[in-house]
Amino acid sequence: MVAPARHSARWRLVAAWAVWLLAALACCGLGYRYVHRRADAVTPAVDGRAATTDTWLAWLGAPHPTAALQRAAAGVPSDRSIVVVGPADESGLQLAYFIVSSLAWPRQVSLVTCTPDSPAPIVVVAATQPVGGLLYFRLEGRGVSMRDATTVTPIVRLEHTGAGAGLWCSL
Amino acid sequence: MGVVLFALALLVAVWSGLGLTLLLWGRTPRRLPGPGELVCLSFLLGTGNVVLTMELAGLFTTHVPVLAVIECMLLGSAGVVFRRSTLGALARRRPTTRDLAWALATIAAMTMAGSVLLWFTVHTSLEWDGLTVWYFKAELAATHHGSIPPEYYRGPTVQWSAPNHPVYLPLLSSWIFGWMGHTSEYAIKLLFPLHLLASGGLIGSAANRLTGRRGLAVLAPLLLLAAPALVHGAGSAASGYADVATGAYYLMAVVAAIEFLQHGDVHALRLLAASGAVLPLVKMEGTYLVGIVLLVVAAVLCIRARRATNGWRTLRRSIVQLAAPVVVVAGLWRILLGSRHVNVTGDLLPVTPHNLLTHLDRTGVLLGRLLRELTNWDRWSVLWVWAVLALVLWTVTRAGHQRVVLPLLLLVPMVLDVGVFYFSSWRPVTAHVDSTLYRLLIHVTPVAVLLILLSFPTPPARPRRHPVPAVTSPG
Repeated sequence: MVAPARHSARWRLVAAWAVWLLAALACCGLGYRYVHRRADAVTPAVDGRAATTDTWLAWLGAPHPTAALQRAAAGVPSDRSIVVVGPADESGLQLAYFIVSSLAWPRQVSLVTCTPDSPAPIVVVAATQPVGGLLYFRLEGRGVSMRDATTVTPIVRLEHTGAGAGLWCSL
Repeated sequence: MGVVLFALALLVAVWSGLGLTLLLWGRTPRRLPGPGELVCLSFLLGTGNVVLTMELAGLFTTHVPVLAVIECMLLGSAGVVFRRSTLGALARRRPTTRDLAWALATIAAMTMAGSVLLWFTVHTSLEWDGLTVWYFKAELAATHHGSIPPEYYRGPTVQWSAPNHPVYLPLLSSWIFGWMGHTSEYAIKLLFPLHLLASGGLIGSAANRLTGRRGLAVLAPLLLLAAPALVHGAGSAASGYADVATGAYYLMAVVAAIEFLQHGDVHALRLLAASGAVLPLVKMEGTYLVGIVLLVVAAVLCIRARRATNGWRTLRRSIVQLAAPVVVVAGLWRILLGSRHVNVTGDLLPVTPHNLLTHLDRTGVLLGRLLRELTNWDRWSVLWVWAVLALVLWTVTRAGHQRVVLPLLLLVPMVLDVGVFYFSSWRPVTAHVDSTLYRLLIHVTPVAVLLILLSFPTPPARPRRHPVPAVTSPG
């Protein structure tokens, strides 16, 4: 009675060992293949201290958009807020807003979007500080005064005035 | 120069972690820590100590970095001086040629994993949360003497950066920035692969110790590397997210819990308490993860207490030792958030029976998404399928509390990870599940790898005749 039981236990062990070995091979083989594929698909990040934000803001069309936005924000007094104004259908606007908001600290940064259907801008994030500057994204020459405006990147400009809500943009 | 200062900042943190680990290990331990285990614990406890010190010091003074450096040096020195006998015993160990060969193989596997992680870290940028939630706060802390300014929490226009999220990563990053003299995305991105490697080291040393097979320590980093979700993409070690760090501390808690329940080691109890104190500061999910470990340990102790004389007294003492650091740290964090009037605007509805009952119809969708995620080869290879097999084998072959403890510590967090979507405010909920569930699974992935390795059958050619030695070789 003892011998067959030992035999059976040994075969169970061999089977379990074989399954585990196969699983290890499958896991590593498949996993490394996918890791390799991901490595092939990686687009090299931009170099520099602001690598991530420069990569994400590449659509602004400037060589170092982070530094450009940081310089622009620094031109606004630190107790005044900045209003980011842009078209609602611009996919990178929200991300740009987050980045401007972090670069402009301690200034508050609010977000206002405009749509062709609605004459009034939509205040997405509101600030409590008085407005010190308006950052227009892709709203070239539409309903805003060009007085005292600074070009930050080819599609972003900063206006150092507090404008009325209805005048921010008009598509 | 930046690399040297980065290394110096880490070394000071690890020095404090070494002291803390040795102090927690006790004067007369049942076993000595393995060198690899000591390094991994020193890294995790050292960085945890830096963050706790900075957070507490930031409440009272602006000289946070100086105080943190002094505290780290003192703690490290205290551990080395008061536990010199432990260090001496470690130094007197004479490893055999076989030990050295296995140690070299483990180091080679870790180096390989580290190289791949480093490649992805250098060649990819931070992902969404890495930049908007963690890096922003790290910069703020770095430019405000090592603590996040109180006005940040009240800022009406920075709520997108989740002010209610814990401060482990921002403060640790600001510690590094303080040493380097400037902020650097690459510096903080290098921290995360180190957490994953620490997980690999802890898994390897635990598997080695619990099974007596040193080959498993070589496999640990290789298996972690085989899960693409840990290597690249949002939540991975290269993304700047907190998930890998959460997984490392949760693994540390699980390993300590297993050792404490198996041998009743006081040092394991203290390590469990220490990891529990750090976890709530790493990520919000850390609080419930440590809660699960404490509940499972408490349940086993309760069952034992019914059988033993003086069992309830021992139980009370253990529970107090375990829960006190967690309650203090998590409580202080809550009080801090409350005092700063942080608006908790999250993706979740209030956790009420009504909301649960209202969304019970999501059960099918959630289970379907979980199944789809676990069999997503592109993210996990066959790791989870293998883990399920290991789970079955484990429950069949183990007895007593061992049979349930490790499976519970793997399954309960997964159930909660899925269950949390009953309270999701997203419409449709599947969008929330698809963007989040896989990252929640990263928290328990190291535990799944540990379970797989511990379930490895004994090689048929050499059936073991002797019990596993209590004191381990270098691992």
